[in-house]
Amino acid sequence: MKLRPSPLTRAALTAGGCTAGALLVAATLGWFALAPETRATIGADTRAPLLVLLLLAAAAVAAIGAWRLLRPHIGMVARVVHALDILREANASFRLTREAPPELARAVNALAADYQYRIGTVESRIREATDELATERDLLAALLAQLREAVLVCADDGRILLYNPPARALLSGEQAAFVGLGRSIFSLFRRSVILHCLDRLSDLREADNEPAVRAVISTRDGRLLRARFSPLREGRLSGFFLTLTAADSVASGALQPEEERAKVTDAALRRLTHVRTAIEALRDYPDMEEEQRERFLAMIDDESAVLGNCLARGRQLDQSAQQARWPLEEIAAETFCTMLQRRVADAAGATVALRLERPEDWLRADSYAMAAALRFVTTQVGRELDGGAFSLRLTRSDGHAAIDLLWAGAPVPPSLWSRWEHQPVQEGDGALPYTLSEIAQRHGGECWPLGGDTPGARWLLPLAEPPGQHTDSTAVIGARPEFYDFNLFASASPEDDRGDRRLRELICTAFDTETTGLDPAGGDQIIAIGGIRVVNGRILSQEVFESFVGTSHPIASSAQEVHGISAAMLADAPPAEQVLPRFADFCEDTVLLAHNGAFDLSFLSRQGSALGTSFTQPVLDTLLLSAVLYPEGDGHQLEAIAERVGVSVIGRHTALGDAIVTAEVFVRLIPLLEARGIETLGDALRASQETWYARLDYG
Amino acid sequence: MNSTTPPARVLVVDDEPGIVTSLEFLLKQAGFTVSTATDGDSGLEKAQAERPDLILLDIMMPGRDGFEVCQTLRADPAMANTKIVMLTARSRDAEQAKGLALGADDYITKPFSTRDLVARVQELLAA
Repeated sequence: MKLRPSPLTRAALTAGGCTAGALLVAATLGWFALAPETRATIGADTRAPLLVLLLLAAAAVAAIGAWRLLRPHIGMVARVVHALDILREANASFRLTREAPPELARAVNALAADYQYRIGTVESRIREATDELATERDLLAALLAQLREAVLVCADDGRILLYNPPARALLSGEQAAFVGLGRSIFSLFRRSVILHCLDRLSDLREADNEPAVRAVISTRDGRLLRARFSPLREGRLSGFFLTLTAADSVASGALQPEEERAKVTDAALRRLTHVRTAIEALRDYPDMEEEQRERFLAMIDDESAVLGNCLARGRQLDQSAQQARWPLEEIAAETFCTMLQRRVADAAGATVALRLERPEDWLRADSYAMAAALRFVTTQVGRELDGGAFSLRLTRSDGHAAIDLLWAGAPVPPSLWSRWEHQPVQEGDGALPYTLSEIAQRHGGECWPLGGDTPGARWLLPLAEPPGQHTDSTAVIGARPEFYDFNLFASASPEDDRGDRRLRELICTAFDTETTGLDPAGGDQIIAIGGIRVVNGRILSQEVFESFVGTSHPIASSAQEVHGISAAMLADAPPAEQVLPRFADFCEDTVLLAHNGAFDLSFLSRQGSALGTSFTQPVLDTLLLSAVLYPEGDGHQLEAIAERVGVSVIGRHTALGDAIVTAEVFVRLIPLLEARGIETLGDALRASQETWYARLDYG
Repeated sequence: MNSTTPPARVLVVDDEPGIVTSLEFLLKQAGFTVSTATDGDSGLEKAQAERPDLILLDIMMPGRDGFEVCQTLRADPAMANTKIVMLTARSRDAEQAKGLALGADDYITKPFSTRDLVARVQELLAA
């Protein structure tokens, strides 16, 4: 599937053609440049045009001959330069064979052997020094792996620098996004909730010695997690720790309330039985003695009172169970209100006054949800009531903290408030899965509109005890990142223009596909995809994608000979509708990397667009990059390049196997490309476009 | 009840027919004139048409809930003399605070003893 006409043949033909063309033009111009009388004289001789043609043919033959004669030497210089690049940058054990005349090859190879020996000595010294460092780091990493809690470390811009195995297990559900180094935390969680927590954290950093923000956050696929954010400030490192536990599993230690809940329900049912018995007795025996009748009536009275108590207790238990799932953060009223002030000001597009009657109070709140609620009301008041000049006020009322959002303008009419109260709260990045009313009730509070002279809205929230010596025992101990890359701290953020990013700092997904045949337009389909991530020039062997893709399209026997995948092997494979969107998630926001990527992408785009999945990332192609480095060479097959740069080819012709080889080749090509001044993604893409292969295949 | 003054008029608004029937019976027995409604919209209409002396108003109802009905009535000056008593199924203090803030005169939590309820109604109307 990778067979193409030799570029040399084409080059030779084109060069010869060009030379002949140039001579023809020169001759023609020359003919017209002659004085008319001279032309007439020559023209009189009828053999003259034939003579010119003969001259031209001879010139063309001479040009082609010269090209053939010079070609080996032109090619030889390029090949030797390329070989020296490989020696220096990629593979010190590389030796010249057919690339140069024997004398030159011998001289170069002798130098190479000496170079290889010296480099080996230096490398072993460096290795000793780095080993010591690595041991310390690994010890730390081992500690983190022992933690049961899921731990992630992110840079300030949200890129994941480290995660431990529990984090991977917790976040890698069937529908969940992928956890991976250099990926953005925002691909896992709603952006606004993370930014909110970080904002809260930066408030705390100034005041608190061990600041931490707790929140319940939901994954993109809707699972609730309890999260704890704490800052990471260490030398050049600046970011945050995120520890996660499943919100449902939090209550699992508390079996007791569930048992009590069952007992309460049983008791209620017993009481109800007693009441019914008494009622039926009274109905069926209207003539019973007065004394007996009084006894039944008293029984109904007493038992229904107990029934009421049972149900009230049941409700209490339900509420505390709900609060265990949605824990509220204990927060100083002043901090909380200042945060709300910023959010409201942001929504109103104007400054917001804040008055605190009890700045020393503490309250319990889901600060993200409350900020969303106040922003929502602010926006609605501005839009539907034309209200403005917002202010905030904190008081105490009915044993609760009362937060009032006040404005100048009209109060909210009852019917309008009802509508606001029962529709999902709108945040910047979409509707939240709860209403104003539900947010208030989750706090065991309420919210309502204020009328009269001061239009506004009031929220009642539960008060909390101000903390005494509040020590936090759940601080993250050390960190055994099983999966980490702190160099991401230094690299540019993913929002930056990728074209300017250095090749060795890219986040790539090397991938390969296997297909039913060679013709995507004719209906051939992808039957396997393998992918592996390359971050900062490191291949992350734990971050892989591998899947068969089910299809009803027959597999061409020629294709099956290459990849060995039969229809029977695909019997249980998920269809493209499932695999492609998942693969799109896997490679989201990364540069795609493939060998002969035009082939794979033509399948991906065709099948993806039918499913509404697009692959618009930049694509680096190791075939083109090899052609950039070695324009005169023919060996751009994956095996040939791999051999040249010292990558062993094991497990080829599986999609993942080829993806891994492609990744390894790419990593080895980076220094070679840099030696040619190709340092950034933009450089590499431009250079690729200019190669012969790109014109043939991508044009 | 004093025979020289007309009996006080009470409107019961609740979406559960069972409780409406019982309250209507008991309040009539206690000497009140009673009318009923089983949702927020018709409750609001009847309140504005009949201007009762007191309304027993359930909170959780489909359509307009008790809070909205209460707030709408309180915005109407013609209803200023009508007492409003909220019936709440939950003993949540924030909910009671909300009811009172929106203009209710009192609240009674379910489950309640009908004897207590009638006594409370009499008390409020005497005040």
